[in-house]
Amino acid sequence: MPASHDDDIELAVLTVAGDLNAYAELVRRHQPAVLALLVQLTHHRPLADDIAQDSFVRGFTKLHQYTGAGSFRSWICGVAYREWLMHRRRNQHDHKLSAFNEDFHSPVIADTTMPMINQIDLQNALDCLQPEERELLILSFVAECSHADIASMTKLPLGTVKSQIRRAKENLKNLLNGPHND
Amino acid sequence: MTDFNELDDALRLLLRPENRAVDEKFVLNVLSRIRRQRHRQSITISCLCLLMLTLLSQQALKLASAYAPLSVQWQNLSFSLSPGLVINTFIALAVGTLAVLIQRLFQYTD
Repeated sequence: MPASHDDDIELAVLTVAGDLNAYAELVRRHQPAVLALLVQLTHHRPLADDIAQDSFVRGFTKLHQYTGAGSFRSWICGVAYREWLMHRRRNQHDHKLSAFNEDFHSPVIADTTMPMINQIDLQNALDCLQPEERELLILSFVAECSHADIASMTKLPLGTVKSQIRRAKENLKNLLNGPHND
Repeated sequence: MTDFNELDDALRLLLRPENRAVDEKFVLNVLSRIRRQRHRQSITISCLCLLMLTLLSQQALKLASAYAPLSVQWQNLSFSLSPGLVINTFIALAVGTLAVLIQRLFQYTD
C-alpha cells in the first residue's frame, strides 16, 4: 500500500492527540524504509532492528515537531539517522560494528530482475565507497531525502552534499565499470 | 558502460525499502516500548509528587508539636490523636508507596 503524504499527516495528528493505533499504522508504513536505511548504515541486521525500534520510540516523543512540510518517511529516517549517529558515538571503540554481517544482504536482494547492473556487484561497489559518500547516497535513495534535508541532517553545506553525492556516483560508476565487471 | 540514469535506477532497485515485508512483531515491540516509556514517566512524576508531599509533611511535623491533640468522640469511646502521629502515619504511608513505585520503575526500565 503506498503511503500517501496526506494520510501520514492525518495519522501524525491523531497520534499527537493520543491515538496509539494511528502511530502503529505509521510504524507499519515506514518500518521497511527505516530498517532498509539502518541495515545499509550498520551492516548488521539485529543492530539495525534495535536502532529502528529506538528511532520509532524517539519519533513518537518528538512527533509534535513534525510539521508536515516534508514527507514523513524523510522525517523518520532523519530521526533514525541521528539515532544511528548517537549509537556510533557511544560505541566508537567497538570495532565489531564496522565488520560486515554476512546475513545482512539477504533481505535486501529480493529482486533479481534488474536488467543491466547486477545487484550484488552494486552492493559490493556501494560497500567499497568512503563511509561518508555511502551515507549520503543511502540517505538520498532510501530515505528519499532532498539534498537540503541531507545537508541539515549531516550539518554539511548544501554544495558539499551535492558534490559528494555526485562524486559517490562517479566512484560507483568507476567501480562498476572496472576490470571485473566488463 | 554505466550511465548515471541507469545507476540511479539500479540504486533505487537495490535500496528500495518496498522489497521488505512489514514485520508485525516489530510494530508490537515499538508499541510496547512506547507504553513502557509512558509508564516510566507517570511513575517518575508520581514519585516526585510523593517526595515533595513527604518533605512538606516533615516541615508540618515540626509545627505539629505546637498544637493540642485532636480528640475524637465516637459513641462512648474517645480517641486522642496527636497531630504528630497523624503526620508520621502519612509519612510512613508515603515512603512505603514511594518504595513500591520505585520498584515498579525498575521493572519498566529493563
